Amino acid sequence: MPETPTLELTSPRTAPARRRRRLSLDSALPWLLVVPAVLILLVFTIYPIIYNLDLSLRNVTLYNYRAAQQTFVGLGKYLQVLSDQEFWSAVGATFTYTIASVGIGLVIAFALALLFERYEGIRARISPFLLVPLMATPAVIALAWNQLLIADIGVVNYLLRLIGLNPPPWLGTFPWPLISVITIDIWQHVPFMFFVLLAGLTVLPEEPFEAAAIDGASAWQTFRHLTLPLLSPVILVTVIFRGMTAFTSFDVIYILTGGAPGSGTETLNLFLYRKAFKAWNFSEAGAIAVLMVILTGAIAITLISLLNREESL
Amino acid sequence: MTARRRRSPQQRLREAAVWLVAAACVANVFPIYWMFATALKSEADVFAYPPVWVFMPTLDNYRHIFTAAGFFRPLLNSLFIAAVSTTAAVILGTAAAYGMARFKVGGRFLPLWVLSTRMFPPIVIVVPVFLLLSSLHLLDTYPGLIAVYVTVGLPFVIWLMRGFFLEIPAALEEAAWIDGCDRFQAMVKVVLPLTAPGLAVTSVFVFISTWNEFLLASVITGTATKTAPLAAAQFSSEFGIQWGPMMATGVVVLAPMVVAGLLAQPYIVRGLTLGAVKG
Repeated sequence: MPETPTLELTSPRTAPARRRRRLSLDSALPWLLVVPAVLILLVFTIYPIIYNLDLSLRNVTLYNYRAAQQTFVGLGKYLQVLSDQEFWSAVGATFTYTIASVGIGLVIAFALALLFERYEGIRARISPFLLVPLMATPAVIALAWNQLLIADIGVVNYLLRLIGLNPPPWLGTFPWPLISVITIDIWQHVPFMFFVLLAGLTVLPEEPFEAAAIDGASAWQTFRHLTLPLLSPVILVTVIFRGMTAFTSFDVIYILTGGAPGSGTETLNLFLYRKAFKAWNFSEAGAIAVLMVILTGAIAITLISLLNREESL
Repeated sequence: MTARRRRSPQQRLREAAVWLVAAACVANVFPIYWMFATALKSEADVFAYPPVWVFMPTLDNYRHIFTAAGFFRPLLNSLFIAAVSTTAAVILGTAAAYGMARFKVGGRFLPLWVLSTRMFPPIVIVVPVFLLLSSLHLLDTYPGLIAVYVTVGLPFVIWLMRGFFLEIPAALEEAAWIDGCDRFQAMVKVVLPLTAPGLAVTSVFVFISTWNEFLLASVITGTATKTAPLAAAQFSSEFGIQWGPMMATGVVVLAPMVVAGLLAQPYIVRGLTLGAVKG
């Protein structure tokens, strides 16, 4: 660690008598502040990623992980994962889940945000209600929805029967479980997208909209050519953050369907979890983890470059 | 009918808007409301069909979960683990954020690296962390889970607090230095009081995310350190499906989060987007 940190500010002036003794601690302070946090992050984020890489090249299971030597299998685990039909259906489920969740959620949240922006009076009164699902423990959300969706006596099916519809097997056969977990995900996270978009909408400059009104632009034209482009950085931030939470969803799916075969809900998260803690094949899980890191990295880089292009416009 | 037809398109749009907002709000709170109501129902009412909307409330379910079902231990576990890891993450993260914001330690790269650690799905660290804690004999212990939760909270604290620090003019500290404070004193006496609201909100957010965490807890806790969300989710497997007590555990887990969320409301957008949108 270098002794002299880069300083932007002038050094503090200390009393001359104490100067020599205190100077060293004082100038080391910036590093003392940063190093503990960085060390912890290294141990629990960088080290695991390297550990995954190491795991994925060997053959480690629950039964031999304490032993000193496990067989080196090279890229064998990757070939095994990549040629596994279940891996590809997990990739499919993950993307279906993420894209449907983010896409549909965005449309609903955008519509609500535009409405709330327009009718300011309702905003303050209703915002607290919207917070509830947002802060709620996902595991508890899963339990609450589980009760709503019980086949014989659940409220949702009761209401459907009341209006003469035949309830589908919500947690039974494909595609209904997937539709159920996507719906719950949208339900929980629309408030997030709504709050962010509303915050973006309220700080938009007023002048362009006044000019458009004077020029006689229709509501749709104003939306298409003013609101959307002006708001696009905020929309992108919303989509990135929401995309991250959707991509990493685990709790609700795990509790409601467990990613059961035939339910179409085994996303990559649940696939890895099953390989690690049901099949106890740590190496295969390691290979899946490395592939997921590569995938997330690629998506992140794409999105960040999109964001940069947006800013340079 | 004629009155309806005479309305202007604007009025009809407004009417539709009100209905849409009302529907969204009902859909938004109904699942939570129903859980709350079920928790107060007697067993007969819980299993009644058609579902009962008006009923005689009872506290039997709450009594059951705290006595027979032993929900007290997981609840205390959650409180302890969330409180300790939030405190540790906020102290370590705030210090690091100050170093990065004021003294530019690590330049532009370090903050971005911190942010990037938050982008990976938590599932990818689960197996290595499980094996690491297992070899250190820290599975199902408080230090093990707390260490992991501190790590999960750190990037969040660093990013949010760095944003708050960058908003405070450096001239304030320079003035403190000229007045004879050293850097540490300037930080503690001048800067931290100014960021107190930010610090409070950051703590609330970290507490919420730690309290709500499920995946890591499901892997690295056991009977001794099981957290409340985990205990709530396991209710069905242990006792058959007892919806009443299960919903009661849900309410107990949820209630503190709703209160915390309401406290943090003014900063909600900023907190949830790590400062990317100020709100």
